[in-house]
Amino acid sequence: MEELARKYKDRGVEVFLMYVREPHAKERGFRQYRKHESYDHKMEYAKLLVKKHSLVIPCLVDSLDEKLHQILGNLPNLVYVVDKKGEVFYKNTWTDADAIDEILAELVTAEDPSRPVQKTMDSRHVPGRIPVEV
Amino acid sequence: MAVERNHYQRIPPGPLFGLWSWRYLDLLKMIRLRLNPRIHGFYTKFPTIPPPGSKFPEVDLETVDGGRINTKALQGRRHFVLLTGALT
Repeated sequence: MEELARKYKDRGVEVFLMYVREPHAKERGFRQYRKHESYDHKMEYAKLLVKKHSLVIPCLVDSLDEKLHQILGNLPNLVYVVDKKGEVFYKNTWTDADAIDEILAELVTAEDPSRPVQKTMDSRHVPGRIPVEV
Repeated sequence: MAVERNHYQRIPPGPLFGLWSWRYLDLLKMIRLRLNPRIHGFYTKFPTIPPPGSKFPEVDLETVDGGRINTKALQGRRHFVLLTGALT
């Protein structure tokens, strides 16, 4: 997503990450993480997330009662693409960089057809991922 | 259209009947999910999700570096992508 944020920055697209609840806190593999006890605790985890993944995109922190996250669907890996009119252009329950790249290319090309953008992201060739043809 | 290109849909059924990891075989968690009325309650909230073409709710939240971002300021000027994420 960092790569997409860089690619579309000069075409008028902002990318934000919203830090939400910990869906697997205290579960196998994530024993060291607890559910959020306060807003400061949540902010601390959000900072840890930014540090762990060296994120450059702005990381927003939802309120402790998850008011906005509940409205958006309460899923841990949601993605929404919102156009300039403030309307939802695309939404998915899972963050898929390939699909988002395709959607953003379509969105910005439709806006300015004289500067078309091609989809470049192809995560099928990311090392470690199982190469599967659909 | 784009939903069909999801990563999880590209993964073919593998070992463990397509579960791919023994970590998913948490029987107690599965029973909890089935029986807990509060969890069923979450799913009744799904009608609030803004579908494509509808107005996106205003986002006014604090960032980790102490700033504040309001999506109303972007309206008419920039598109934006909002992802949700967590450590676990």
